[in-house]
Amino acid sequence: MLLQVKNLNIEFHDHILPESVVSGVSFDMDEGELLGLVGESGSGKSMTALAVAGLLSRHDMKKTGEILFEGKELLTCPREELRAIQGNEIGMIFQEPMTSLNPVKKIGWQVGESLRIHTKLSKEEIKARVLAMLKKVELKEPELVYEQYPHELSGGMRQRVMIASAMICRPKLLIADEPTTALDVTIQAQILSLLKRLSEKEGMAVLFISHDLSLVRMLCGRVIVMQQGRMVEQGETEQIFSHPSEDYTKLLLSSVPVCERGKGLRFA
Amino acid sequence: MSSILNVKDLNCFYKKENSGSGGRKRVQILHDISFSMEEGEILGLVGESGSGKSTLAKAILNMVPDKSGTILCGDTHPQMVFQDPYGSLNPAKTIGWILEEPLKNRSRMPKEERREKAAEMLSRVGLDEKFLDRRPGELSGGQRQRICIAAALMLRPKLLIADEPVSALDVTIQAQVLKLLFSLKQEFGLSILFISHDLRVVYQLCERVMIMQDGRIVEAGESEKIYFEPQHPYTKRLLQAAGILENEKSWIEKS
Amino acid sequence: MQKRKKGNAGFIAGCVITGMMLTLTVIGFFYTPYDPEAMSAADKLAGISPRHIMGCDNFGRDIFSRVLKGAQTTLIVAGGTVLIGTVFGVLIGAFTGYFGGIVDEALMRVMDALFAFPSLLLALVFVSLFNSGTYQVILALGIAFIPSFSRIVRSEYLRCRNLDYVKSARLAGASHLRIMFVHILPNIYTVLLSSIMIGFNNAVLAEAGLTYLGIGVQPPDASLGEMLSNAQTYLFSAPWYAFGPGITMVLLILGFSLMADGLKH
Repeated sequence: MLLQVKNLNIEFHDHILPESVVSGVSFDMDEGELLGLVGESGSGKSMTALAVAGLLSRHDMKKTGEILFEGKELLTCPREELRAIQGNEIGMIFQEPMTSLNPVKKIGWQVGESLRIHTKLSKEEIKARVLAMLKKVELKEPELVYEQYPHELSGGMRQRVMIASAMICRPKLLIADEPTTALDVTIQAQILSLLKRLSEKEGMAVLFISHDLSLVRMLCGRVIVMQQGRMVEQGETEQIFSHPSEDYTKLLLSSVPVCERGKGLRFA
Repeated sequence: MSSILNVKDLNCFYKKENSGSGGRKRVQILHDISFSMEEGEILGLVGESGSGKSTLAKAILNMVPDKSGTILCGDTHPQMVFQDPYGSLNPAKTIGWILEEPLKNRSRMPKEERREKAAEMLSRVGLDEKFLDRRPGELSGGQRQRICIAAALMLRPKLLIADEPVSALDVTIQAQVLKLLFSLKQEFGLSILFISHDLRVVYQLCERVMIMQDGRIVEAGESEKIYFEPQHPYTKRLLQAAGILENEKSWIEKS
Repeated sequence: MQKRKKGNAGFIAGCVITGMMLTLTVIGFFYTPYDPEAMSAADKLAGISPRHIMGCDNFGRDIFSRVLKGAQTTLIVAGGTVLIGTVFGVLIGAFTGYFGGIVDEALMRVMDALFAFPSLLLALVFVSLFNSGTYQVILALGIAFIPSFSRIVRSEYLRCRNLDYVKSARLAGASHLRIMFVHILPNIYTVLLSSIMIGFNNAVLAEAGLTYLGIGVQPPDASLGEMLSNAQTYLFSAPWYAFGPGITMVLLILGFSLMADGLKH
């Protein structure tokens, strides 16, 4: 078992009344598993992911429950240990590849950053690992990209760079928060198939967060459906997509446009 | 049936600041666009970012100064619904004011009648009369988009251009808004040019569809034909990427 | 708007202080304990007493009565200055920001040129051209205030002009003028109001500065600046002379600063 989340609750505490954003979420993840986390805006899917990545502020957020990563409790562990796990064993990529890269730093520097923090490798070794990683995410000219700045790259290339910098320390878990939402469909497809291949090759688990059910269906073996901070349903993707048991899941599925021959003009 | 919109050999340009030399370059955004739209039709326009689909919408609304070719529109004041429901409503005004505004500009209707018309339109888009005194800030994304549609229909246009009207909405809300658009089209005999990057949404709503790439229409025709017997390689690529053309799971394993 | 103001302690304190000062000023129009211009040799530089709660000046005039009158003059000058600055600033800012292009370039360079002079210097030049007096001061300071207002308004219009609701308004048949002043203007109220408050403070200080230099409001008219400049001579022998007008000016500025700050949140 790679990750166990038990009865996770998250409350905002920067208002006078505490506001619950996630309540009673529990799930497990195996090594190398592709797990989908699906929900609409306000469902708490991103909050859950941020909690797992240890990126939620300790001050204005109250978290209860347990998050066990390889048996280690993340919510209560000291800050130094959490930092060692972050970026080293858990990587994360975000929706907007433009804002998650530093505009004034070269790509090579940014991708190598967590190696500089978490390892004691020499400069040459870091550069070699970065170049190898850029190649692994199938960027065409790794040496060129290494010397470029984020604004010189297209959206799809930037997201590849993000994946590279999240994976540079060979994490066991990659959290992908709506990684393709800002991209065009054709690029979206390329990034998703890249994620799938990398996960298989490196044995890396992926927690894939999305509002897009058809993407989750294509990528993930198992899926969790969330609504307003609660888990509605979880199980094998095919099972849930073909026989949803909860009303909300049914509504969600029926809202997804069907694209089969002769089934157009649904509203006519 | 007669045509509501006839576009012939449309070319659009805009001036781009040349970062290096400091001069200005005239860049062509649209290349020889020709198509026509029938009255009461929902025509889909599909393309990725930078394909020029929004420029085409602007050109039809006469918002692009530098263009050649002819645009014959059967409606003097075509209206538009925008993608971002948060930016397209004036946050400082009440919903009632926003709905009445087009009537103030284009008619001499007395105040009470305007208010009545606004309330009537609200109920047509499925919202309660009490929304009249609220401001956009108090509304959800779906409600805002309904208001945008209502405001666009206040002048009873014959042609409505909808630029990614549901792209910013959650799927369940998306379905509701699409349904509303379709029923309004039936009710008012509207023609809708429906612009989207989402092939699945377009398939639900449009009988005919045009595929755009780099400022050109690469393929156009009946949705059924385009979606399941695409001719152009770009159309094929789009459909595969969206998982429509082949079995939904197969493309990701193959590529 | 109303909701945001609630629970904002600074803003409320600002409103209370400003309200108090304004009430006092209005009272000054109808009633002052003594004639503010009546001199009395016997009361020359008299200290604070129940008869003269702020003491008397070097001519034996009651300082409290003069503060009431002086605050009036100061508020009128500051108000007039801000009014001129706001009206022309909004007009210029709206046109340049909304239309852009060559008009924008030209007008903004003129504003830059105006902006390059310190407002006090500009007012000095103006007053030396057209005599000194209350209205000249208002006009001089008002013109000096236009550039800063028009810059703020222009940047807001630049931000708003490409928003979708402006495009919708075009499609709904609204004229450019209507879009500028009916659609966009209400959206920049908060920014405008807080810069008006800050402008008001600067005007109060600028008036005091001008009068201190002897080219502002002329005697026997009282203004806070004029009183402060006279009080300076007697700072050690009669410190209460400076105390009355000084504290009034501090309270005026504090009230408006707190309100301006509260509006930003």
